[in-house]
Amino acid sequence: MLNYRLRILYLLFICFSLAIILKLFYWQIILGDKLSAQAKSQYSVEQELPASRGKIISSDGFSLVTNGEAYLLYAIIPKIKETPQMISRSIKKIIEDVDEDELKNRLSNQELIWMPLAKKISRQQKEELEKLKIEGLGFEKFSERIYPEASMSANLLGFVGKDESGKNKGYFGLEGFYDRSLIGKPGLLSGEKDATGLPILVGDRKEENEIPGRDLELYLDRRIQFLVETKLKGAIEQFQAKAATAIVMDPKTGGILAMASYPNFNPSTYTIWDPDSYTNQAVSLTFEPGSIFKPIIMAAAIEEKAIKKEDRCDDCNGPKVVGEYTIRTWDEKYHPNTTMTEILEHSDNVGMVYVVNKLGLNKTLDYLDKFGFGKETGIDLEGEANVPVRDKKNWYEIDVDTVSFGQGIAVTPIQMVQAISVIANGGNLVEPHVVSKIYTEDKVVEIKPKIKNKVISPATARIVTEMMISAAENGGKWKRPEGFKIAGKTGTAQIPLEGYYDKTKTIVSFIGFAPAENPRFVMLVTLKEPNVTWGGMTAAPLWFDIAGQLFFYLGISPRF
Amino acid sequence: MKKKFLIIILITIFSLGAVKIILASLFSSNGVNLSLLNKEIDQIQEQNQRLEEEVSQKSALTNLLPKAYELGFQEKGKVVYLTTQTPVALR
Repeated sequence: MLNYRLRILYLLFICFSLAIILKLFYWQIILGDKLSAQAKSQYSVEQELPASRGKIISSDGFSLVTNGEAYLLYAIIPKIKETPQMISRSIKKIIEDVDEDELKNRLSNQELIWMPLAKKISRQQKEELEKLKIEGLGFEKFSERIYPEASMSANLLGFVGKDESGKNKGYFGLEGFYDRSLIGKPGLLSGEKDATGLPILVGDRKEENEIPGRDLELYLDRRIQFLVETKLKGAIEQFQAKAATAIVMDPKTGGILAMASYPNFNPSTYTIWDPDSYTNQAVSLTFEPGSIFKPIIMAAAIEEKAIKKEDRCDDCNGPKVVGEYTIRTWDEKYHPNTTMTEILEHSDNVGMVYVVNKLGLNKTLDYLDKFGFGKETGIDLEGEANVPVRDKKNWYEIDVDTVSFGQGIAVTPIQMVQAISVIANGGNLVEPHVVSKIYTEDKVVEIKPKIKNKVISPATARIVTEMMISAAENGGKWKRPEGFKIAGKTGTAQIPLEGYYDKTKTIVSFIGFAPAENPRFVMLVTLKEPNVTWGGMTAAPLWFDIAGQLFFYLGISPRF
Repeated sequence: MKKKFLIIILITIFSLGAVKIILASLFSSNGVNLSLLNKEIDQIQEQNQRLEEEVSQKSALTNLLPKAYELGFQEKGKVVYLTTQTPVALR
């Protein structure tokens, strides 16, 4: 009997032991990883320390782009006690741009627990909503880009959106070009916590500090930018233009003092704007420059001694026939025996054909390359466009003739400014640049002016400058600031449409620099399809208006 | 000799254990302080950012211009430049 009982007890022990072993096997081996992770989540904490994105500062120390806080308003549906109608009405009173019906629908959705209601709400709106003490509503804080000057210099700055993985990413302009510098590197904090969530300092603790994004200081002068944008906007309204650009650059350093482009947008609310408005026309627009190109060909011909300033054109007494084409002057007036200076003053197409024929195709192509056409300028902005210059074998006689007055070649506004700067600074091709300094955690990296190559001699630059001064003084009846020597040239380029030029649609422009004897700025303004089709009546007055204000702001005195 | 060595080892083990307990109890209460200090840093950084944002918004030219007009400021009129030409009356 005893033996029987012992056997049962023995069997029971084996069964219990087996059950314990099986359960332990289940916990340790099958659920081991899961339970270990659950336990770890109770006592350990791992937190990403976000890196703040770098600021963008104008040359006067003002933050054109900085960081601020915004909130996401969300609802935890099971915790809501009031009716969706009441809640959505209360929210609408505080956040005006939300759709009340859409809110009601979201709050009535019982299939979800967590529901976002409004993105990017301000701190004031959050505080007002908190005062209402609506149960079930919550806020999630996040950092957002702040643009205090709203749409000012928007096309130059770009904006911050999201990439495919939902992380912040800069697009267009400086935000796009310098994204990797601005973004910084997030840090990581890992350690152990107690039951109340407080850190245990004696446990395993590791802290990797975040590296904040680098701040960028620009050459851009906020007051000049504001002035240029205000004047440009006025001109667009006055002449009903479809688009416009303006660039102001220091010809010695290549520093961009102002760059405006219309249509523009507000980077804070970029999603509601037409994506076409994101483009910075100053670097992305390709257009036939028209007569503002004439000083370039003139400079090349003088440098190569193909012509002299005193030369007279012996083939300028009428239209020039080239094969099936006839080249005429813009006003159908012809000037026999005209001087080289007068060719620029009258913006004489036939005269320019005389000059380019003296220069020849090979040298013309050489100088197009030396002046930086057909390749990107290297400006530190995302989205720079470029149309390569055609191969030599694709140039016909008519192409060489028309390029002398800026037709049959596509350039960008920034390429034109870079090329005219060569004449302004005594012959150097300087790379345009927007950022002057990059601030890292422990040092300041200064971006030094970059001279790419010597294009023409200082003597040639002086001669062409004098010719451009005459062109600005005698080329039209515009009102100029008195007492200042200004070198400039107007341009009116017809827009090519499916193989022909539409005479009613033009891009008008004026490019110049001042004071001519020691230039402080090179400026280009362009207006697309204005209701007055001539540059001398639209772009030139705008240019002189801005220049007059710049002289005063930069402390440049007139010489009487 | 062996006994003495064993005693020294035991004393060392016990004293190190005691030190660890004391330090652990000291640091465990410091966790609260650390948490409070971190919270304070966050608050100050937040306030700093808010002030910076406010200064930027208020000193933006797009906001200053209408305010200047409101206060009665006007666009400058024609600027007259003085020349250094010799006056007629001077000998």
